[in-house]
Amino acid sequence: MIAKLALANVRRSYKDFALYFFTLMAGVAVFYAFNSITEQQVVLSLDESQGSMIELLGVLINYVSVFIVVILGFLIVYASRFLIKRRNREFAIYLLLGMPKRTLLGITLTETVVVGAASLVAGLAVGLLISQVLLQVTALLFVAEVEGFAFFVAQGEIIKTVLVFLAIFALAMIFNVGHIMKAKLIDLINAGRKNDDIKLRSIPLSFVLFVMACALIGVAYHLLSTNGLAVNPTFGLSTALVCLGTVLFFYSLSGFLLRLVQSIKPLYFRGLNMFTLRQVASRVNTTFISMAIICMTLFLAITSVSGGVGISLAIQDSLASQTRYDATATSYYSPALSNYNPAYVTNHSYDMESGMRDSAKRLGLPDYDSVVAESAQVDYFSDTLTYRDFDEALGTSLPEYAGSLVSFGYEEQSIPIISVSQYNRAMDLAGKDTLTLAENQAVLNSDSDFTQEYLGDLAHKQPTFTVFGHDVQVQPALNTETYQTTSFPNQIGTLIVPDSVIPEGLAPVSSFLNVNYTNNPDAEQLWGEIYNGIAESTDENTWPLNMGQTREEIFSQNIGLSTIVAYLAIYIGFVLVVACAAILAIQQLSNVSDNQSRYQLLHKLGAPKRMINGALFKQILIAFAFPLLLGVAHAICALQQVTAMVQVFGHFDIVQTTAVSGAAFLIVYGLYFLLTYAAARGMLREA
Amino acid sequence: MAEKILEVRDVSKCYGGRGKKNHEASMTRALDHVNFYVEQGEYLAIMGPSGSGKSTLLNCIATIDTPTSGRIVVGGKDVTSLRSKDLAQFRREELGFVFQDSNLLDTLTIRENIALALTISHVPAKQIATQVESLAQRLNIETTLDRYPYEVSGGQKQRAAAARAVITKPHLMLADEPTGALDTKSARDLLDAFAFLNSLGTTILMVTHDSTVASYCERIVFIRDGKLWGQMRRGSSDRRSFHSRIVEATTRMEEGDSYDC
Repeated sequence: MIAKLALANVRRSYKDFALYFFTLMAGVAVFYAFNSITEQQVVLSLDESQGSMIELLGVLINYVSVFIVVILGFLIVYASRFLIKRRNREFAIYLLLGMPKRTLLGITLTETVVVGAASLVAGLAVGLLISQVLLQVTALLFVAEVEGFAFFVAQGEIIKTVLVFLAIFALAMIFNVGHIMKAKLIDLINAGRKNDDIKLRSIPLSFVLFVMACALIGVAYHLLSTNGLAVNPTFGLSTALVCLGTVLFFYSLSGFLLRLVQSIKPLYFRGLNMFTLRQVASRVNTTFISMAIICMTLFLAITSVSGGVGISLAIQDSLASQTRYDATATSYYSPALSNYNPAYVTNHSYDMESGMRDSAKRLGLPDYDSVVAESAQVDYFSDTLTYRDFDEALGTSLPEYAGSLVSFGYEEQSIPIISVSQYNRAMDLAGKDTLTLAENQAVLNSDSDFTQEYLGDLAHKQPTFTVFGHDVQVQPALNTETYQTTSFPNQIGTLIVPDSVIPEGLAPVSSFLNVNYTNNPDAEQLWGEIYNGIAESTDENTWPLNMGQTREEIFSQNIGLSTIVAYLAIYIGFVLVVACAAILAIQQLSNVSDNQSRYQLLHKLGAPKRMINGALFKQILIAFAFPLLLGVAHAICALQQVTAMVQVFGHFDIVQTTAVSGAAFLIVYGLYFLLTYAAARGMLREA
Repeated sequence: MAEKILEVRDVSKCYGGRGKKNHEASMTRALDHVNFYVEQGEYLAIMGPSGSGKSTLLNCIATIDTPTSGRIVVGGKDVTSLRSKDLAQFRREELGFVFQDSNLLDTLTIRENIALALTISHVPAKQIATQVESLAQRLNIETTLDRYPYEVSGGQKQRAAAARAVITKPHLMLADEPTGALDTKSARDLLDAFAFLNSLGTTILMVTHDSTVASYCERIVFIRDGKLWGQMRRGSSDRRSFHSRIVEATTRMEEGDSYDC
C-alpha cells in the first residue's frame, strides 16, 4: 500500500522530481568518473613516472572528493527539503484522513529510496560511460596503451560511490523525518494559503545601497590589483570587502533595477515589465543571501577551472619550445660543489662533450658516441653587469613589472653572458634562425613571461652596457628563444654578445650541453646510464654534472602535471556549477509554483501566453544571469593576479582559457536555465 | 431598441459522461438551454442559489470556460468560435473582471495594478498616467494610488479592482460576487461606484446571491438548476420595494415554485 502510493506520487509529480533526479544523476556520474581515475593504471601500460603521476592524481582526487561530497550533500538535502515542503497540503490530506505519521514517513522514505536508487543506477551507468572517455583521454595524453579491449569498471570506486550517496540520502531522510515529525496539521493545511512575508524596502535606499555595493567591490578590486595575491592584512581586507559588497549587491539589486526602470516610464509601463520587476523584488528577502553565496561559488568555480585549464595549457604550450633537443646536461663550475675538480675541467678546456666522452670511458659506461649524434654547448660568462644596471637604464625596477614574486636582493644578481656563435650553434641544431651581431651590438634574451615585459621595455630603450671592457648597445627587439631542454622556462635574462667581446681563455660560470641522439633505439636509456653514471660518480677525474633533463622525461612529467591540474579543475568546477545551477533552478521553480495564482490572474486579464512566458523568461534570466555576471567580474579581477602567479609555468593566455572554460560553463549552466524555464512553463500550463 | 452587447443563445454546459456507457445518465447538466441578452448600458444581475449554474454561466461568458453547445456573442463577436490565441486579445479588449476577492497583485501598488490592464495592451505610458489618475479620482481612491493592496481597506481594494476592470473601456464588465468579502458600508460604497460607472455608460453584468446587492441593478435574471427561471425589472419602483419583490421571488424560487411574476 505504502509502496503503491509512493510510486504513484513519484509518477504523478515526475516533473518536480525530474530536476532533482537529473542533478542527483549528474552528481553520481561525475563523482564515480573522476574517482575511477585512481584505478586507471590497472588497465593502462604506464611507465614508472607516469604511474606515480596517476597515483598522485588519485590522492588529490580523494582529498578533493571530501569537499565535493560536502557540496553534493548540502545540495541534495536542500533539494529534497524543497520537494517535501511543496507537498505540505498533500500531507495534510493524508493526516486528515487519519493516516498515522509513521505511515506518512514510510511513504516519503519509500519515495526517496525510489528516486535515490533510480538516480544512483542511472548515474553509475552514465559515470561508467564518462570513465571510458576519461580512460581514453589519459591513454592519449600519456601515449599509453589500453591493455586489452575491455570495458573499464572500477569496482572499488563503484562501492565507494554507492556508500557515499547512501550516506547523503540517509542524511536527507533524517532532515525530512524531522520536518514531518515537527509539522502541525494546522500549519500543513494552511501552508498553501500562507502569504509570503511582504517587506518591500524603501526603493531610494536600495538605490543608495546598490551604489555602495558597487563602490565596495570596486575598492576591493583596486586593493587586490595593487596588492596581488600575497597573504597579508590588505588581502584579507579586500576579501572581506568583496564578500560584503556581493551580499549588499544582491540585497539592493532588485530595488535598484526597479528604481532604474521606473525612471524610464515608457519601459516600466510596457507589457508585464512592472510585474516582472516587482516579482523579483518581492523575493529578495528570501533569496539575497543564497544569490550572494551562489555568486561567490560560481566565482570560485570559474577561477579554479580557468586557472587550472590555464596552467595546463601553459605547460603544454611551452613544452614544444622547451624540448628542442633530445637532452640537455648542465655543469656548474663552482668550487663549493663536491664533484667539481678544476684541474680535470681545465684539461678538457671546458669542453663538455670531450669531458663526458672521457668520463664515460673511464667509468666503463656505454660509448658516448654511440648515443650522441650532434651537440651544441652554451657557456654562461659573468661580468659586473647586474639587474641594478638594468633598473638604472630603464629608470624603474623589476618588481614594478613582476610584483611580489621577485626575490629580495635581486639587484645584485649578475646577468649571464653568452657568445653569439654558441647561441647560433644551438639554434642551428634546433633548426631555428640564427643571429648576426656587429662588433658593438648585443641582444637581450628571455623565454620567461616573468621578465619578458621588463626586458622588452629595456631593449626598446637600446641602452649601452660595458661588458668585459667593450661598450655594446642592446638591440631593440627582445629575443625569446629557448636554447636548452628544460621542464619550465628559466632563461629569465641573458645577454648575447659578439664573440670578440668575451676575453680569450676566460673560464665560464656554467655550461649546458644540448644533444641529439643517434638513431640507436635504446638511445634514451643509454644516455640515462651515461648521465647518471657520471653525475653520481665519486671519482675525482670525471666531469661535473649537476642537472640533466631529457625530452621524454619532460614530456611525461609535464603531461602528467598538466593532466592532474586540468582534471582536478574540471572536476571541482563542474560540481560547483551544477550545485549553483540546481539551487537556482529549485528556487525559481518554487517561486513560480508559489505564485501560480498571480500568473492565472494575468491570463484572466487577457495577457497573451507569449507575454506571460516572456515575463517568466525574464524573471528566471535575472536570477540566473546576475550571479554569473558578478561572478565572472570577480573572476576576471582575480585571474589577473593568478596570471602573474602561473607565469612561472609558461605563457598564460587569459582570454583563451577564460573563453574555453567559460563556454563549457555556459553549456551546463545554460542547460539548467532552459530546463528551469521549460519546467516553469509546464507548471503554468497545467494550472 | 439599444444595441445588444451580450447574447446568450441556447447555451448548455455538461460535465462528465464522456464514457460510452450510460452516456446520458452519468452526465451533469450545469446549464440547460439558457437564453438571454444584455443591452448596451444595462446594469444586470444574475441571481440563483448555490449550484444553480450562475458561476458556470459567468465563466462561459468570460471565456474562461466553454459551453458544450450554444453560442455566446459579445459585441457582435461569437466567442465560442474564437481560437485560444484570439481569446486573450478578446478578454483584454472587450471584457473587464471584478472577482470576489479583489485579486489585486500584492506586489504592485494600486496605481500599478490599475495600469496593468493598460500596459498589457501596450498603451503609451503618458496616456496610462492620466487615465489612471482621472479614473481613481472619480472612484474616490486617488489617495491610495501609491499604496500596496495590503495597506488599504477591502472596499478600496474592490474599487481599485473595478477601476482595473473598466479602464480599458470594455464592452462588458463582469463581476462575480463582488461584495462577498466586504462589510455593509464598503459594499454600499462599491455598489455606488458600480452605479456611477454604469451612469458613465459601462454595461455591467453581476453574479450574486445577495438580494440587497441585486436590488441596486435595473434588471435581474433568475437561474435555477441550470435553467432560466425568470426575470424582473426594477422599472419605476424605488430600491426598497424592488428589494422586497426580489426577496419574495427568491423565496418562491428556492421553494420550487414555478415562475409567475
